[in-house]
Amino acid sequence: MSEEKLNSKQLLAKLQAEYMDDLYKAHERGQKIAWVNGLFPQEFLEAMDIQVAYPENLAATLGAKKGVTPYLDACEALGYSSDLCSYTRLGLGYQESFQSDISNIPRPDIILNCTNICGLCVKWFENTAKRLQIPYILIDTPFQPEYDATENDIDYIVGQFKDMIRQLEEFCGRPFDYEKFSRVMKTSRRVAKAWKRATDYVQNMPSPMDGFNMFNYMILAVCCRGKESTADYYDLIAEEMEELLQKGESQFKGNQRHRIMWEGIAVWPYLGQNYKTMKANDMIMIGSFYPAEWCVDYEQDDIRSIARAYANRPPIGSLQRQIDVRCDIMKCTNCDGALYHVNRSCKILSFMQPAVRKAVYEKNHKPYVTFDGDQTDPGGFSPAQFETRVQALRENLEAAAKE
Amino acid sequence: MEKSEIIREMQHAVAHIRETVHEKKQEGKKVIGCAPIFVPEELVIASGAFPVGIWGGQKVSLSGSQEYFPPFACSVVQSITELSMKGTYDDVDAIMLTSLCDTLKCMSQTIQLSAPKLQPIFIKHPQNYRLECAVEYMVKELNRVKEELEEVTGNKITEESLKQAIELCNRDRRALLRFKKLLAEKPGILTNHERHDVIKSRLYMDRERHAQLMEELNEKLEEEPVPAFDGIRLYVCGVMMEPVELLDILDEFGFAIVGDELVQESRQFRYMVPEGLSQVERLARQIQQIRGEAFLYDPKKERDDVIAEECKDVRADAVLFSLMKFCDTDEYDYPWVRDAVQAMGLPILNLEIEQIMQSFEGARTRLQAYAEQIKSRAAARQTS
Repeated sequence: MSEEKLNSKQLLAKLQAEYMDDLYKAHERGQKIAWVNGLFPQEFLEAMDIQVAYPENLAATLGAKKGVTPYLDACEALGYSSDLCSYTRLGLGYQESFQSDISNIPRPDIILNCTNICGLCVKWFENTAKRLQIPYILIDTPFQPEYDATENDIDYIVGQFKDMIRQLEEFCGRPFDYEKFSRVMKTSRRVAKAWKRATDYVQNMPSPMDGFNMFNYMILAVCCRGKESTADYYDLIAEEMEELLQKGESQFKGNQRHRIMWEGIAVWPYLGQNYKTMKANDMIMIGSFYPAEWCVDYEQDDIRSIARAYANRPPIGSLQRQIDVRCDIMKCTNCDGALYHVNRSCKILSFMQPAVRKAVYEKNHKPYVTFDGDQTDPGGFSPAQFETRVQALRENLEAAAKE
Repeated sequence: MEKSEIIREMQHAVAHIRETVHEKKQEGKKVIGCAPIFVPEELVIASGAFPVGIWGGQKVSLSGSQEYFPPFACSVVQSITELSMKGTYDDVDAIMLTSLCDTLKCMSQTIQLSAPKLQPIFIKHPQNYRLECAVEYMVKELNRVKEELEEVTGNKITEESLKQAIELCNRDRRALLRFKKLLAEKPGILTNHERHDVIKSRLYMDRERHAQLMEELNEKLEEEPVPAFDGIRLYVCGVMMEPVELLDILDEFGFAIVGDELVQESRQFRYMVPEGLSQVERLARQIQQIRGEAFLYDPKKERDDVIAEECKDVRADAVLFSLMKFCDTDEYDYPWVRDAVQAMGLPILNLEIEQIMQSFEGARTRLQAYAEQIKSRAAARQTS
């Protein structure tokens, strides 16, 4: 009897369960466990058969499932400031017990960080490495005031890749597996393209995809970027979107009158409230930097190309690049307006934002509003303020439409 | 010169920055701003330009900076932005900017809007600074910076001029290190405020003059007897001890700073530029000597070890962590520093400050209580 084909929701649940199983059976199978940041070049770790866990992803999951407070409290009890990023605070609190009733990741044997999103992770992981007495490897992708990565940046990153290979060989006690590395690259590239293809369905008008679903879909793009099953999953999403498109249907059951760009990280503890508020105001979120952010593509077996792909991530580019990325998102997805999350936890995404907002508006004249929030700390967000700002955006959008 | 005259000249430099910059411009010199945290001042000196520290302003009222930063940005960056909007840096020809934390990365971009006439020169430090590829990277970056400075100043930076600049800055560093040691040997010989002005003035004077004054001042301090001192030998951590009212409060309650690892003070001069094949390579290798720097990748996280060792060397009685609000870098390190210091049996106070703070009564109360706590502990120890 043939196995019944799973839909994307069922497949996601199955793949997530398999991923967690792999993580927790790693030691039984003689594998090492690494903690890394979201856009770390995982290809090097997969090549060495290291299982990879993502504390930022854990933070998002616990945030969405209202399970962060005990860890934020535990972190503050250690003497850390409550002004620190809430992902960090959650991670530093969680590593004191490795115990949550909601979701867990295993204790790492090694921790690695790439500075292509957040500079503060350098410190967070430094603290974790010292607390857990484990090795810590950094891949530094310098900030790019020039717009994007320079040849000198790439030389330096390639030099660090070489040193990381040496350190991983020492850590695992065996030579680097270049053949597997090549295979993982091929798979990762397939995942990147499949993710982009699936999420680009938001560009359709009306959109068959409910943009908020990207926040759920992206978990595998974060955690399992080197697996064929992840590419299959995104291919399945694309199939489902194509089917909806052909039927003229959408996952989004509200009115798609206003197409909105969501700037910044989600407010995980209030996803539902954010969604309902926008829906009640006839808004569909379709613009986001996630489709481009998690599409890490490069030339096969070309180490400089990998270095460039990981270096050229949006958060570490110049202000002009930040502006261009947002203008492109709004243009490609036909956004009517934008919601900017002034995220108390994320300085790199919040501190250039006032200049970005202004420049994007000057270019496209699309209305926008800001709201104060925090990616994980429920105390950093006010539902009432969000509602008021979304209503104001709707009024501005309606006024703009009349003009 | 008398000790008081030397200090007065240095204090004058700290209090009259705009006038000094204006004078330099009148002399036909170019002026290059040096923003936090580490910038290659040697290249500026070798180019014949005047390097001037850009470290924000004390007690600045913020209004315009909110156009660029939300309220949870550190006050040093906020005040630099505010001053840049008000034209304070109008006489500065170019500014060297670093990206050693996310807030500084953002300021390196927004300052181009808040002060559009100010030419930016980016200094891109490699976080992975121990690797040879990082030195090669830094050499290329510094050569780019050198070319940009040559363009701004119209002067060629030669091996010889750079060598002389490095020797001059190393000479000044040696004198500052000697000065720090003397103050640890003779607590109370200068006020905390004077100590700060002497150190800070290097950012606002001709380096040759500063080195000369430092050497003279050290001679005077060496000649002086050890003063009677029954106060508290204090070690200070953090970004800076500004506004200076904080230093006055320390003086008032009998604290004498015998050591520091402040970004604006000791961390500016604690490592010499080493020998190397070329002068630029020497500058690139300076970073390799650093141990336990909070703003650079530190896989073993040694800042707290370095602080503990220094506290022991200077026989500190107590530690003050002057935590600049919203400085994540220090917020990540404080619990480790606290634990290391307490393991030595020393008390530590975490004092949250802002460069723009206008009221000091809260800080005064906390520092007064801290002094009383330390003194009563010492008295209890003596009686037991």
